[in-house]
Amino acid sequence: VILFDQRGCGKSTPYASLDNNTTWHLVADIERLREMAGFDTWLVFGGSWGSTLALAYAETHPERVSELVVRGIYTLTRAELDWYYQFGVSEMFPDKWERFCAPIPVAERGRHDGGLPQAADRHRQKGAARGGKAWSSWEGQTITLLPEPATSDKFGRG
Amino acid sequence: VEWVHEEPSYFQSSINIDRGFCARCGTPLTYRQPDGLEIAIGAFDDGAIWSPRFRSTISSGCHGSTRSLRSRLDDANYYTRQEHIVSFQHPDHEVENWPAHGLRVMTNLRTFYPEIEPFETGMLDVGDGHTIYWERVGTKGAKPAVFLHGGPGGGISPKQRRCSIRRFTT
Repeated sequence: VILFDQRGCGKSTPYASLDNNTTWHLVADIERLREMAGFDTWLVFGGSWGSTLALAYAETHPERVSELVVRGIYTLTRAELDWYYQFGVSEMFPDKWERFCAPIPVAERGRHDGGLPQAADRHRQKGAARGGKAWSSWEGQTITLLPEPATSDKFGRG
Repeated sequence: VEWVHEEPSYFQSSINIDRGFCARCGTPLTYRQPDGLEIAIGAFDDGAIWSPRFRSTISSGCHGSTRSLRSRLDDANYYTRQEHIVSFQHPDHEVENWPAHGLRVMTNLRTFYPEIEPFETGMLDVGDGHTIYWERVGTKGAKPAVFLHGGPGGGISPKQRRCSIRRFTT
């Protein structure tokens, strides 16, 4: 298996850079890796965001995909985003949702106006620590149904 | 491995093993296991160029050097892993569906395979000022596969090297 850190992630450089870093840049990178390894076709495996990327790659280069394995499928549609970041999961984990929203002023939470981009910006603008941590903890604490500190603690860290 | 005449057909005898054989005459040719590909001496034009280096079965390993035996005794997880093997071989009694590839009822949550180090790593310049880190794990020459991590932004971790697909992949 070839595993790699997508642009801006892990040991890839420059770290956390969002310049020239779109889904389609990543799809092109997967092709570069395939060519580097000299494979004609390969099995493509992806989970969560990786499932979106796997589907985008498979749709762009179907002739290169011998098998497609996706788990934890999440395709970033508006409905899925709203479910996770606006209303839905918020009802399953109301306490955690409250902590997630804490960095955002009440008047600006705007659940009903497609507020995800605003919420994301709001968290980013907090600059570092608090907003980012709240964002990450929300994901870490809702990724399992029952609390799993060993899993969620990793998300809240710097 | 390069097959000069014709690649074997394969039978996946368990989740960890596939066995290669000649589809024309039935001769067994290969045995692919997680640590590598074993090739029958008879598959070579001149089998006499090879001579035994070690014996690999426990029952016959009382004397002589048995590298395999020693590694098994040192490996605390060996028997646990053996118990996790799911066989696809015929069960010795009549069943409705056989071979039944992929028709397994999951009775226990599967766990990750043992820790594994990449056999190759590198940095690939992809342009736009970006360089990406990659690593390869599995069995060289086996089925090609690529792993796409989540996030976006998650990055890869050593645990992700331990998915079941690594057994047969490169």
